[in-house]
Amino acid sequence: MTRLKPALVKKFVDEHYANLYRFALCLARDEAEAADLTQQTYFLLSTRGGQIREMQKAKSWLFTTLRREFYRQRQLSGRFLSIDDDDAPDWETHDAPDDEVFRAADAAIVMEALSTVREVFREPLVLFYLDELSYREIAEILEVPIGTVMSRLSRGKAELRHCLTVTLSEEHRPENVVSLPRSSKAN
Amino acid sequence: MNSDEARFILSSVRPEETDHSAPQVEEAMRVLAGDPELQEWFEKSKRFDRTISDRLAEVSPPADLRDSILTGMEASRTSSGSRRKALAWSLAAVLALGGFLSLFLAPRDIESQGESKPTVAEFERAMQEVITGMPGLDLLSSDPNVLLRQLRDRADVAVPSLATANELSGLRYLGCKVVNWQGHEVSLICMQRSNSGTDMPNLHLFTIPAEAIEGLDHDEIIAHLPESEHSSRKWSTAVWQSEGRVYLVLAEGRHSNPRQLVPLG
Repeated sequence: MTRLKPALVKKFVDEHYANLYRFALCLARDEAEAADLTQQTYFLLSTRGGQIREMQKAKSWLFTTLRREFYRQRQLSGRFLSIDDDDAPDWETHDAPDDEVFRAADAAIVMEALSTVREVFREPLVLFYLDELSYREIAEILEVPIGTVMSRLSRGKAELRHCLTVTLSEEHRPENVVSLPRSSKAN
Repeated sequence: MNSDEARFILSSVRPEETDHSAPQVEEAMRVLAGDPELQEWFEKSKRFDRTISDRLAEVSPPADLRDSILTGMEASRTSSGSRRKALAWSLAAVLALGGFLSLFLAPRDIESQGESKPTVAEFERAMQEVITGMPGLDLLSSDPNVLLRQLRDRADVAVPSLATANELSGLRYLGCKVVNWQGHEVSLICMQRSNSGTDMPNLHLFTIPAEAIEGLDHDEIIAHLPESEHSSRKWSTAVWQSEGRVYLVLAEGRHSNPRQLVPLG
């Protein structure tokens, strides 16, 4: 089996592991599981990376593989996700977001709000906000048309604004949300 | 297109991305150009997006994640790279064993070729060859419960009875694999001993159904130290039988009782 050169693999680790971890954390909502998913994704890269035909596609391959691995493990453990629930009613909040309010949101609050956004919208939202992937790449990773990505982004942002507003304005703390240090440094 | 429809479309648009070939986006952009109120909303929307991106970027991965990734990948690469050396060593061992030649050289992924069962010595040597020539694990995880679940998912695999309590912090789990040897599925869990300073010796636990191996009495432990400090055989080994399974531990370095290194339940 063809393998990638170690130097190239290390480059892919340095460039993408932090964002892969963030994506995994938003999917799994568990730090240990997110770390395992990230590690497993790179392990698969080291063993199957030779199958990647164009190195420019490696980034998409990594995110796609992590996502598939997440759903595969969920299936193995009998925990299924409602990925097709985008028929649920939207939050009609395309109003202008209040700068002052949302600037008060730190990383922990944003993660908490993201974790309460429905799965179907959370995936494209996180990939969008990671600022690393084009619409076309996001569509490839999620295996949906670009139009679907843009529609889910629009509705997902409205839902995120709603969730952020709730998180910021209430003491409401749903279960199973990610708990993060409030002043973590940028990576 | 009215203002609300334009907002819906524009809220998904990343302004710096030029691939706005969709007709609706072009139309929304035209509406935007002629609507100051919409422009103000769009600017606020972009600031909101920037804030969320910045906050997401502040989420730091675990401090040791990068090193763990590289360690896992390096272990996989090293085991593959040393395959040729391992094969040479294996061949020498096979010649020394003489009469066991045909059994020892039997490929791992074909059915048993004879009626007699393989011996403990053959199992031990074959599994050492698996470690040195292993192309990669089936699953990487630091969580023993995840590894055990992965193995249990294979109904035909003998799964070790491992204690997975948190206080067993001296071990770091790496991953697992299922190997087909002599017609039997052998489960493998790879670990590292993390309580040995900077050096993290490898520790591997193989489990195979007891009926697959001949000549091992219940409660009997067969243990070997590495032949010498500089020998290519660097594993301390222990083989024993318990509750219908035969366990084999390969522990890097010299250990008089490698069985004690594994947290069996």
